[in-house]
Amino acid sequence: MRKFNKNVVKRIAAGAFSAAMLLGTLTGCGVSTSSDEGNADTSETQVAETTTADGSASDAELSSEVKDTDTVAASAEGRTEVEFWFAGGKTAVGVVQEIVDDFNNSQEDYFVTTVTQGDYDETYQKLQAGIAGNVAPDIAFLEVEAAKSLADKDLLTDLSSLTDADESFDRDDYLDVYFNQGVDGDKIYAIPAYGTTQVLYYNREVFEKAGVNADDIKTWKQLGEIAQKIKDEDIATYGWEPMWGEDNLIDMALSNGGKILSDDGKTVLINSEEWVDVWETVRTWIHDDETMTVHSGGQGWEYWYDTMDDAVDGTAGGYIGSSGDQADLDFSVVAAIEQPAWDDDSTSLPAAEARLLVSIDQSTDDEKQGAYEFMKFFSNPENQAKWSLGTGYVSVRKSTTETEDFKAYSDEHPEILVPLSQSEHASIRPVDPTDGEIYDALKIAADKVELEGVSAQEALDEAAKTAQAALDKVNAE
Amino acid sequence: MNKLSIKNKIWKIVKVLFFTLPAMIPMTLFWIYPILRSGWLSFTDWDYMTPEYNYVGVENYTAVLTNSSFWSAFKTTFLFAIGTIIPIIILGLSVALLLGNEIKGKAIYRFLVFSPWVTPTVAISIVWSWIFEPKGGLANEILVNLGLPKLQWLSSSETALMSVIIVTVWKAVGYSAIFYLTAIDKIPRDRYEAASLDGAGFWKKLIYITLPGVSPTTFFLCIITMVDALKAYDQIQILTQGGPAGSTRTLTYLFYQLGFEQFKMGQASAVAIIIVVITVALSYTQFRLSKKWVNY
Amino acid sequence: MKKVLKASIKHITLSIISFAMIFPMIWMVLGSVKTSEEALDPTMILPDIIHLENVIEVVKDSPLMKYIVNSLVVAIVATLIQIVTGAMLAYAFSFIRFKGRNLLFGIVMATYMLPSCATYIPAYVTLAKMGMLNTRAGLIISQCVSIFGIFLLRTAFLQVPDELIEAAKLDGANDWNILWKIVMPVTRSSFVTFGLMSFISLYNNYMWPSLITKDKNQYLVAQGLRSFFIDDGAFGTNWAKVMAGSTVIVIPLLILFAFTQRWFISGLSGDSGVKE
Repeated sequence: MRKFNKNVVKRIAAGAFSAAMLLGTLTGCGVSTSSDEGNADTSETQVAETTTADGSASDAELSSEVKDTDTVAASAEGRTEVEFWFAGGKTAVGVVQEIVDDFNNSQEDYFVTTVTQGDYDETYQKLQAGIAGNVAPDIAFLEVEAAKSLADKDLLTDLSSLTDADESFDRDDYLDVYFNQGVDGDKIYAIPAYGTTQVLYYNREVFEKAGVNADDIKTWKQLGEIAQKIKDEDIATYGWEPMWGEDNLIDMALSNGGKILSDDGKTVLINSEEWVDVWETVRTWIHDDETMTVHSGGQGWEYWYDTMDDAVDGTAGGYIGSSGDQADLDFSVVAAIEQPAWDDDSTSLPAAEARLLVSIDQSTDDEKQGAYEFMKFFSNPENQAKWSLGTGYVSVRKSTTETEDFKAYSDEHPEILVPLSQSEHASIRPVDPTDGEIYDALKIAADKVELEGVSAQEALDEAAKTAQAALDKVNAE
Repeated sequence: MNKLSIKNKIWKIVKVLFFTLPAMIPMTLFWIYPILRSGWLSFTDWDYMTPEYNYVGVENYTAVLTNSSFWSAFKTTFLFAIGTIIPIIILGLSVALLLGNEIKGKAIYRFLVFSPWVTPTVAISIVWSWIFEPKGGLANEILVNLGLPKLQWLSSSETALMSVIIVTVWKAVGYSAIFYLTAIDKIPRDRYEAASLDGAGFWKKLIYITLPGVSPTTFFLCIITMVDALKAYDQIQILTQGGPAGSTRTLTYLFYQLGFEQFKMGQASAVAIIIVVITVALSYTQFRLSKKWVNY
Repeated sequence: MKKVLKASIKHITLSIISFAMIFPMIWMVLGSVKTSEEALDPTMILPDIIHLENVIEVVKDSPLMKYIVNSLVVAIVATLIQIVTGAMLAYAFSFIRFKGRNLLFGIVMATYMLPSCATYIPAYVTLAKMGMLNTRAGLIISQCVSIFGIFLLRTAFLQVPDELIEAAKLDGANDWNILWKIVMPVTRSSFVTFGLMSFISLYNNYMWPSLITKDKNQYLVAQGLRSFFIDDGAFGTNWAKVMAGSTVIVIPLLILFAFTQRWFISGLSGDSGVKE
């Protein structure tokens, strides 16, 4: 073997080092974000100044680096830049970008730039870091808990002053169930971007073979019997598949008249009769009767898609899914109906959750105005129609059903109206005063019941204990 | 004190600074200062964002320590640590011994054994979730073929932690083996020859020559694996997201949940500090013990 | 005869272990030439036909290659800086006696103990103040120290025979030369291990880069893979493509590892040559 020559190594290393540094500085600094094009956004200039050390890059180069999309959008020159962070799947991201481009092309004052994140938790983490470092964006998509948390700390713009000053703001056209999730007393800290609720999707063929008319399904108990029938007659392996997790179970409990908290906010009610009744029945369905099952674990949304697959290929009679699933389902194979009441004595009250658009208080007044304009734009009936048709999520505007596109579509595809009509009588999940511990306890209980067949009484008692302890602590303050 | 000696002293200081500053400056900026900040935050109700905050003393700590989810995370982390350290050390050493100098194709084996470490976690965890699939996955196929009952692997709170441990050990055996290989290589051959002449067999050689010879590496690996186990997050996030039923929720995972899902940054920081304290205590113990069995 | 038996047992055991180690990666590579349905089916080992389109598409049409470059640049530069600064500090810990040495070592080790997630936000704010968010330089500076490496090197340095150092000092060598001309060659395999591990983790890193980069162009491979292929909301993710992407990403690492294999062989003698 030849003798190892360290000088050679040193030289190679030095060469590699300098080449890498050179490469790094050149390409690293040449990449521009749209933030360096004539903007009045003070929080961005700091970042922009360092990223374009060699600002001599031509305009053509800059705009080709900047735009991922095909649309030749207007440039941001002279406009106030509004930065928008959001998370979503590919389809959703595509629709958002379209709406953003439309907005940018429709007026001359503001320019919205988008930054996609991994998921909602990541968005929140980055938002927190951004606010701490004073480089936060101007708008973000957030879930209700996160938005409320930020609002409580006065970090979000109170939009009520902007809505009051705006004559064209049509508050009444917004679905209450969604709009109210962004309101706290007199403060409006968010405008809903879209809604989501869980509905039933059933396999047409399976139901037909079982002689079931979906419109007759008024209670979960009925669905349980249907599932039994499907299994007994061997029409499918499973009569039905709830989606793994606590959400569906909570919806069912709510539809049995169950509540999460007592009215005075002091007691946790998750192990009350209504709850145990529901969860125990589901447990029986899954573990004793084996007429139902849940897919769990795996990477990311894998379990979700496995469940969908089962309903589509006839392995199961149907499943409980999100309104957002509609974009991916074939409605010649499946159809949609609302969640029913639990039994003959109750009413259907599943939850409907809003995803909110918030404006960060750190932004300048100009940016806030721009943010507000965009929020209005995103939530106007036409764009809500576009969004809903593109992703299946629920529009937050009542008049969306009257827009041309939506009307035409819903005539052919009535399933899109199901989540919408469900939203009209849906419940809002109470905001967790313990900042998530109650829902965490429910999540663990759901796993116990759905995956391990633990008795509902036991699992819910355990959850109630933990939750109550957390609630007591909060109330003591 | 004469001029020469002062000059020497200054020179010494310069030398020390020269050798330590390049590492210490970035370390202070990005590690030490942040953890101090984090620590300070654990005594307030601050969240990095709001302009005002209050000192809350040890409130965050009491809240955390009286929370049952903290203790179950603690237990989980402890089990995880033991479950990973022991196999990693033993298997790593065994593989290194197997790969002793006289084997043909050593380089290939080495390459193969180290390969788990190279792969991106994302892709590999998909493969592992298939392997662990209770209904048709490879793992259960093997068990069935051996006449053993099927297991639920990642889907049951009884076996989930074990499954995550398997994946962690799988990934780490490679680099443990590499460290041992290098260490074994360094032991002078003549010691073994002398022992053979004295009639020592395989086990005697192992216990009296090899083990003491690689003791610094063993110590090193013990510390590193322990610290990694206490910090474990990535593979758990991907394989089980802390479930099912919270059975794979480690302390670091709890940190994320407290900080970014429950928005309680103060408590999250308290958890982080507690993790540091535990780790430091355990390491210190190991360091002291090491004086007895590690030979440099 | 006994020797042959012993050797065969060794080979068999090693083969089983190696197979267990490499199996997931083989599956990943195979998955990249299957169709998406085949890739998801655990019973299908080999594809019916070898589909190269995914791999080709990943190389030609996806931004993945750009992300690979980003990862390479950050990983190479940061690793080199880590090695240099780490070696210097480890040298100080091993060979220079100074007041507070043990205390400093204790602080450094304690720093290693902390879960990095707790440092993210303050470190982010620091970078923000330096104006280095969303830049490769920022990624490099914030990761240019590896305490693991320092600990590793110190362990190795302490095993260097004292006589070597003393002899060098008698010859009038200064510390810098001792470090690079004597200590390093003798502990070369530790340096290689350090470099390799740092490189791999920097290359594959997800959490920290995703926190401080905003711009898609700045993504490293893990973020790129996630954003481009893995969809948190889409039905029918093309898993074969994900496998193809992962395979392509891994290639530079495997090349590097194969290349550094020979440098793992350690030299025992005091001179800088190598006994093969």
